[in-house]
Amino acid sequence: MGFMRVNYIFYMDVCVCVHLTQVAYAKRCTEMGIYMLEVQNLSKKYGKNLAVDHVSFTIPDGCVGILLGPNGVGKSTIIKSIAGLLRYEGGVGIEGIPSRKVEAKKIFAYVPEMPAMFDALTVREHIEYIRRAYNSQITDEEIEQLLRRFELDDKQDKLGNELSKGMMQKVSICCALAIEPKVILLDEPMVGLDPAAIKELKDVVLELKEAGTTVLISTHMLEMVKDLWDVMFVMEKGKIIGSYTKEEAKDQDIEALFFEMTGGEKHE
Amino acid sequence: MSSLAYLYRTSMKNKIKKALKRPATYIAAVFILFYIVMIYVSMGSIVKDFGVDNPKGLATILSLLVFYLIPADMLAYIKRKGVIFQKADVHFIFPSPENPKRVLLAAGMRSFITTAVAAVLALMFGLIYFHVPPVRMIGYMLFLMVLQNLLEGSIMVICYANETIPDKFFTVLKYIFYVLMSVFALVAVYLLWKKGAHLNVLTEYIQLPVIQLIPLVGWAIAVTQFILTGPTVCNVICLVLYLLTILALFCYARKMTCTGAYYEDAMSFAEEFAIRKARAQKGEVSTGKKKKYLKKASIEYKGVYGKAIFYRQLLEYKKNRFFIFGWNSLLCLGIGIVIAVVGVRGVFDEFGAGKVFAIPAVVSYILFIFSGYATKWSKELENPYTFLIPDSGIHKLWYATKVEHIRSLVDGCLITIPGAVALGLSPVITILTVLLYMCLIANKLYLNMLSDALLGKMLGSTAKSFLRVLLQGFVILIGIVAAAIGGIALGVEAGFFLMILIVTVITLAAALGASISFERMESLD
Repeated sequence: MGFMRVNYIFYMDVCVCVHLTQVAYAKRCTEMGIYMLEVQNLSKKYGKNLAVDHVSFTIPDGCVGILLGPNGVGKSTIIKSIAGLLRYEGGVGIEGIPSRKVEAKKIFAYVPEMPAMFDALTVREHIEYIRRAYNSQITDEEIEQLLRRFELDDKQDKLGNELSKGMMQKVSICCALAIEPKVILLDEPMVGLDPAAIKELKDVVLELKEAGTTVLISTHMLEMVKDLWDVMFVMEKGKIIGSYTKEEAKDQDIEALFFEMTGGEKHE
Repeated sequence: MSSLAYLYRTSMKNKIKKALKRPATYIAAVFILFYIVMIYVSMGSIVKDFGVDNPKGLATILSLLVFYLIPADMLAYIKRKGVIFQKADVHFIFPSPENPKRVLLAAGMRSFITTAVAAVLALMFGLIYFHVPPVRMIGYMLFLMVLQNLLEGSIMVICYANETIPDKFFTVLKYIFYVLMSVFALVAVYLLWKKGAHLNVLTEYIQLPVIQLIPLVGWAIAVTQFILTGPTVCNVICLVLYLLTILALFCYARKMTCTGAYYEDAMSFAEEFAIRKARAQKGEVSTGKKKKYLKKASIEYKGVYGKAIFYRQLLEYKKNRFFIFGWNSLLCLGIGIVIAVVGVRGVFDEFGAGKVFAIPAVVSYILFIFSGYATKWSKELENPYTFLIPDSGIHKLWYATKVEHIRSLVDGCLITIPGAVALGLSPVITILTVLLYMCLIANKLYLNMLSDALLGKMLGSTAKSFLRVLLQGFVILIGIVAAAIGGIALGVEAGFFLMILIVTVITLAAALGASISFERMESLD
């Protein structure tokens, strides 16, 4: 964990002394070897079962990373570990800060695979709660716009226990975006969404990337992320068996790359 | 306002708003009001009858409550299961930049508020019924509200939020707790054996230094005694120890660093709790076990369409470690043995020929008070495939509940045979008793289904249970009248048979009505 301590102090110095835009700051950090999201030697056991086995990766700032792999290879466990929901061995840094620290939590958002709403809060009250919990500077107009994008503007007064799975997923995404995070973790975000919402989410991811936000998406739906990714990590049996950056892949299809690494076949 | 305060305040506000729109709330309010008035009117005479309408009596009652409340709470915290988290907490609160200790204390707020409410109730009861001087009662209220909550909060934080004390420490602590509880129980058994079961023995028991000197639980009893009945050397020592312990635990809990490692346990308990809650809403008793270990098994399907439901259920039961037997079978056997023991002692002899109705009377009472146990049939209605199977509703209902009838046959034998042997009942009466048990279980099952089909989501599970109890009470009453008429006119066996016949006809009618639930899925919406 030593690296994180050093980076954390460094981060504080940079933040206090230099006033930079988010994009410029992200670039500066990368040049100096600080990644917005850094996972080092992460291992996680459930009882005797090793779910994640010494996984390490970094995602350059303002990039979209994707964790690919079939069900049960440990993708969600990695995301949950980064989000601070699990005990693990190894280290996770958000902008050089250990991810469990409050300072790190302030700048990352998490969209779980299975959303769960507060029964007695309305859609709008969920976002209001998030705004307070993260001291987010998002304005009422921006919230309205966000809800409109995900077709939730007419469902603002619906309670959490009155929402369908798809609607919960949309609220979950809106809440994550309301944080205005520097890092966003999306665990199987397309599951349960309608085509319009999937398209909207893809647009949002590209906009986040443009704004310098680092995105990590875990998915097994290759088709859904083929236009989004900058760096991909392919997982098998709790390990990362390979990775590619967009530059390295050139024009190769994501599915071809995936099946090349996993030894499977792409069915046309 | 902090985000957590906003969350809990808004949730509470919305819950109240929603509850005020439901007619069930007003019906419940009438019942609660009636209950409060009943307690107010009857409490005074009850307290007087037992001879505890004085400060010493209250001190004894409250000290005994300590045994019930504190050990259960402490053990739950040690196991990291005492604080209830929702799945939404895992989604929204755990990843947020909120102090994990504050998250924990906010989730434990329900417990603190319950203690505060209990303190206010104790104050009222103490002043009205036990004639305790107001200063002492206010002192006791503050003890519960401030000291007891401070102690509970500190223990909660230390058990959950510590990230340095090894888990082994808590395992050892758990066993120490069990040993302490055993000491309490052994001393109580010794006193009851030596001096007989009197209320004075209980008062004497809680005043024993060996009890009051036991850490935390004993000390809390000593403080209760100190406040309500006055100082003794022992309870003053315990009071000092209690205060020093609170101070030490509070300081440690406050100083301890916590990054939220406990979120993993809380997340797993939130999932377990969600399952328990869902089962409780269906009126099932939950053992809280999250994952069942299943054996390998196979089955030959000897039928098609609706029958496939029965064979699939049978396959699932074959995978269970104890097949169709569960805690309910054990309970039935236990009740059967108790009836037998009571029967051997001649308790039922005073009923003469009517003693053949002793087992049905016990069974009816038990079916009345127990809400139910986990069954496979109710899950059929959650499965869309059930509705897609090309068969009639009544067929599907029969095959979905057939295993339950077999289970009730087994349970009926377990509850009846020991008593029947002890009471010297004839084989015919024994068989009729088992059949009656099966009928009553089937009746309960189909009336449950019928009340679901009739009420849908109009009323909550409590209201549905209430309707079911009402209907079943009515059925049992008809059965009793039939048995009485048949018994007087044609003899005991005929009365018994008539009772079964009537209950069966009503059960079949309920089943026919309930079969609508198997026609289309939306009937439950």
